[in-house]
Amino acid sequence: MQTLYETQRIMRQKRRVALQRGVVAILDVGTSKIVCMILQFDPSVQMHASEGMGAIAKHGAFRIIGVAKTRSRGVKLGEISTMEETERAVRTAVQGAQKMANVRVDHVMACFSGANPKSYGLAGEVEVETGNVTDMDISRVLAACDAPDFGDGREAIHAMPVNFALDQNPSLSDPRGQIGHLLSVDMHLLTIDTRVIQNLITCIKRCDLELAGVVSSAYASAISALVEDEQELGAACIDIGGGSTSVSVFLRKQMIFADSVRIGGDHVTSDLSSGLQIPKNTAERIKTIHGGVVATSMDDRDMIDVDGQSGDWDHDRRQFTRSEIIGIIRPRVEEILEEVYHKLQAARFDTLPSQRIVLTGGASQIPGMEGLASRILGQQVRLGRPLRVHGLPQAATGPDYAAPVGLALYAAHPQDECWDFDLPAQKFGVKPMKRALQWVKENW
Amino acid sequence: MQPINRIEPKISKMSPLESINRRKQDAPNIAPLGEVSAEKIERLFGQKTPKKSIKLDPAPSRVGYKIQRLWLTPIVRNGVTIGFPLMIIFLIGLYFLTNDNLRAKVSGVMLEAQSNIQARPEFKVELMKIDGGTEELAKSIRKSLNLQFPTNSFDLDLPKIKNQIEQMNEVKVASLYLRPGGLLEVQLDQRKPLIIWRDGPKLEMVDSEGELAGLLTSRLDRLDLPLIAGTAAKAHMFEALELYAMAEPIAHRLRGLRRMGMRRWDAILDRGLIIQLPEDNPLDALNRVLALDTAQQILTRDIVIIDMRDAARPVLRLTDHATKIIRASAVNE
Repeated sequence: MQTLYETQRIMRQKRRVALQRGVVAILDVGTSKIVCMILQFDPSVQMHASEGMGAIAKHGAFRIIGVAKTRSRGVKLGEISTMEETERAVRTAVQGAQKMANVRVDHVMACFSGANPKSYGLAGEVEVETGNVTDMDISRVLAACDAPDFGDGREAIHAMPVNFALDQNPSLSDPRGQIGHLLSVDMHLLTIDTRVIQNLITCIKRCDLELAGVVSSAYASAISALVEDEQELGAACIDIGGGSTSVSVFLRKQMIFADSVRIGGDHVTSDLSSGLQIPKNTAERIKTIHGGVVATSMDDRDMIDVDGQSGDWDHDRRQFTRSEIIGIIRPRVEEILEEVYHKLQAARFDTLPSQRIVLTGGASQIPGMEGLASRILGQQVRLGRPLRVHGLPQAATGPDYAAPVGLALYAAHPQDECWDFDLPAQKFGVKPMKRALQWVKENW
Repeated sequence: MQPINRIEPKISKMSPLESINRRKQDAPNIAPLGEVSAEKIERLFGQKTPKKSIKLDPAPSRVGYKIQRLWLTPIVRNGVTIGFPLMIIFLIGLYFLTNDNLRAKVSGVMLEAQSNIQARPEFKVELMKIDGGTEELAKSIRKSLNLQFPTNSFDLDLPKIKNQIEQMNEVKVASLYLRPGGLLEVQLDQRKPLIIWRDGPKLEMVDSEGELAGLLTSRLDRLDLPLIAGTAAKAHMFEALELYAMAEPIAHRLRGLRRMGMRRWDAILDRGLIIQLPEDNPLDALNRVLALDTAQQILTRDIVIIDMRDAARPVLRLTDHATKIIRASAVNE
């Protein structure tokens, strides 16, 4: 827990530096595309923030000055599988965005969907030392949460205090300054595979960039796709991406659960490819142009030319009805949604006061998706698009941009995490001395 | 149906070289593939061969990526776009200033270029034309300027020449023009002499403004002009001219007017006859003399001076001869 705490604090420092400089890049490493956005923060708003407001709401208005998208390579199931290829793709995206913005960026915030995220709910309880709840009390109560044994090779990516309770008051978002005796906290801890995040860090370092924050894309896309009352009353955001589908549940404006299903739009494509015996890119094209999940009698008569690109005359001039294509696509989509349903069941989503479900991500654009999802997941399903953000080009307003836009919003209004509070002194006292000694030992 | 054509080809044993030659004979435009260039294939089969393989990977190279990032760094960018050119200009200037040899060379080249341009026929001046003056004046101007033609228009100092011409007494204003075709045109406004003023031995011509309009060596050169003499006579030039105008009937006898004691005029006639005019109203006095002349031919008499200074009492002074005759007749009576 300590190393994680430190790396996250370092990233937090870098983010602060980047925001002072006013320029930060957003990098969404997805399975099918890599998006880089460059945000420019309004210095006047920043100055205002540094005068009065505290650590929570540090930064205000921003504008997107550069966006570049490139086809993702070397990423499988939301995880980097070929470092070299991914690095080249990241370079392409970053260079394109820099060219558009005409600004050099050094700090980048990244989000990704893979790495088997696992949610844990933690609870801690302390006595308030003085009468009032202070920052130190909050640090203590966060430190008092007993971390579960999430195993070797896993690391926390998010550790957010979701809910505070003070004596008899069960739901407080910020108890500082209030009077009470017993302070308890519910914390949401999201862990991922260390290996995956190490790969990402290495990859970004090799592009001469510094990582200023890592966010789970389940969280990022929910920030942009869910509207405020959905976040407040309880909703699930399902981001159906290329390689994986991420699920996050929000209640009282806090993420209380996140998970991912390792199936996505790419699997639909590969089903089509193997089913029709056509290359992947042709299958992708057919999926995006003729795809669907609900077959009608009209679709039986809708003949689609399928070019196998094999050079064989007969093979390259086959025709399929749209129903056949839907027949291939639908089971896979159903499988995805059923997996999502199981995840939501595991999170006890049905106990929430409101059970809104928002579908977003590239694969949510399949026609008929909404109807199919409402049959599997529940009645309150809608398709979500990311929020409107200042300077965002029209081409980047589709549901497939939910995660990068959400990450941009997160960069402007970061959520308090456990490492934003200083750990109590008794845990941290001799550490700097030791670290200095170690550094000397390592370097001489 | 396809025709069945199953004639076994004749296989004769040929060496590879022989077979190649044979093939070349059969079809001279077909060469073995190894020898055919890409352009030839393009020409023969009408297909374009790709010149460069298409880049499938849009990713920038690592060096290109770093260079772009460097280029976007403000300090580097300003350094390259502003600082570097400034430094080069500064260095070139420094080198130029420190290197005497180079400087001499450059200035030599510049001078040569300048003289080359000046030597062009467009700038040649071959003639000087003087308008608006007498021939003598033109001659004297030419003599005084002493310009050697043909010359160059860059060598002519026109303001100086104008000044030099305007220094001459006869010239009021001079305008100089360089006309195309190598012509230096001088337009003169010559002063008009109105009167001759004898100042000691000098004979000066004076124009209406009282300015000197030339010197005369002899009164005979300008018999048409009236003559005045005496100190400060020039200042009363117009009075003298009026007197001259009045003396029209005796113009053939009038030699000139002399200013006496800087206050009054003497009209000097031939045979030494002097009419002394008063300070005030000399015209009336002269008029009276003229009247006397018409009535009694007084001017034809043997008289030296007619003194009209006192209007109430005109006085005549006779010649010695006349006096003697008068005395003698008086004695005889």
